[in-house]
Amino acid sequence: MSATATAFKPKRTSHRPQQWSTITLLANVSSWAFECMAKISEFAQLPQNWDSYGSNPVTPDALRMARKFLSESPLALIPEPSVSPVSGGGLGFHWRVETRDLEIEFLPDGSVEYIKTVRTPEGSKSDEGIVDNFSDKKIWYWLAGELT
Amino acid sequence: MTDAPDLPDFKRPPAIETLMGFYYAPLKGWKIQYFGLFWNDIRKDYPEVQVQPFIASEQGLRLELKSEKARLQISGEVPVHWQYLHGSSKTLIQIQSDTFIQNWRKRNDRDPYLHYRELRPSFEDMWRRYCEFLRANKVGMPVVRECEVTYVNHIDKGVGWRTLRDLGDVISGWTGQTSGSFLPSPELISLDVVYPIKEKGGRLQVTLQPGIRDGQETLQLTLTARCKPGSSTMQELMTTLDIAREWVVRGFTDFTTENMHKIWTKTDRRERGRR
Repeated sequence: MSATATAFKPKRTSHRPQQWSTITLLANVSSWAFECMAKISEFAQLPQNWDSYGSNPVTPDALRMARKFLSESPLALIPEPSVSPVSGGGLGFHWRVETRDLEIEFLPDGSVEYIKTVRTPEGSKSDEGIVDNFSDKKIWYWLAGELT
Repeated sequence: MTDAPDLPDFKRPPAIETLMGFYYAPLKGWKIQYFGLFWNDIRKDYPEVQVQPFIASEQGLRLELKSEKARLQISGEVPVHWQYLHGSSKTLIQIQSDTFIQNWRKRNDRDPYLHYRELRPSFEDMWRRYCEFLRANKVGMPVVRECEVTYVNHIDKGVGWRTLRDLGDVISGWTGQTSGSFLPSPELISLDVVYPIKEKGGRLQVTLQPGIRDGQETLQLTLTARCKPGSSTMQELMTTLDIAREWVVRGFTDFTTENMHKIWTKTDRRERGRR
């Protein structure tokens, strides 16, 4: 006697491939990115003078760009950052991997800048610029030490 | 077509995309070159194409496990999926050997709402052109198994809700209550609910998923109605599509709260006399 079982493809998926509009579903992002989203939402509640030096609250433009970064970047390549509000109304993400430091700052006007630093016995060397394409992988290969 | 006078209507609905589609058995005689030949027919209006992986239909992929052997059986003549992008970047046609879909999307808040009554003739016209193309190339005519209407809605944070604790203000059936006090507030909620459409042997699927679109937190509420037509005549297909759409509209209204209906400005279709 032969037993037969038939397994059908699940009928319902979390994301319908026929959909055209793009969206990043939170159920699909990595756990650290999800936690970052939660922190960003907390920072959105900061009041005026949250740093006791008269800083403005984090601006909606900075919050939006930080969320956009988390939804459009190649998260599989990115280690978990430390996230903090920045005086003046911005947000900062910081990574340290061995001798390399990377800071990405989401400025109050919605622009995004980076500063990357390599620490050597002779001293530190920094380079800075504007981030205009979150899907660019080069900076993450640099952070991993695969690019100079 | 005439809408039922009691069909709900909204002045400012959160719909950002509408999809209509027909699903059928893989076409007999379909060859991969027909994707390009059909593009030649519509290229004036749809100047860009993309080739995508084949989307397995619910009937298309079946894994059979038997005690003597395991066999993976994939039906479908051509394992690719073509997308034809309209010059306006607002309309998309998707074709594979067992599927014909047309999508419309809002690119931003300035784009007008996607009225079904305005989209339906476009879909009917493109389906007619596609069938003429198949006939001219002696490809078997589609025997449509299911007709689909989907509305994708984005309910942005700040519009009726601020945290997931407010979900009961958006979704009528959600209370978020637990029988005890152990569980904290959830950090993520996804809903996937299916209702039968008995009159057409179909289903209405409603999914709710939090997401990020262009840096904006939103709840993606998707309603998909799929109904089985009695035949593949144009009249029957379009009538079935109308029923699917009616289920989407009534289902959307039932699934969401009166609080949100006020925000989206629910109106009486009898008074407006349109759509």
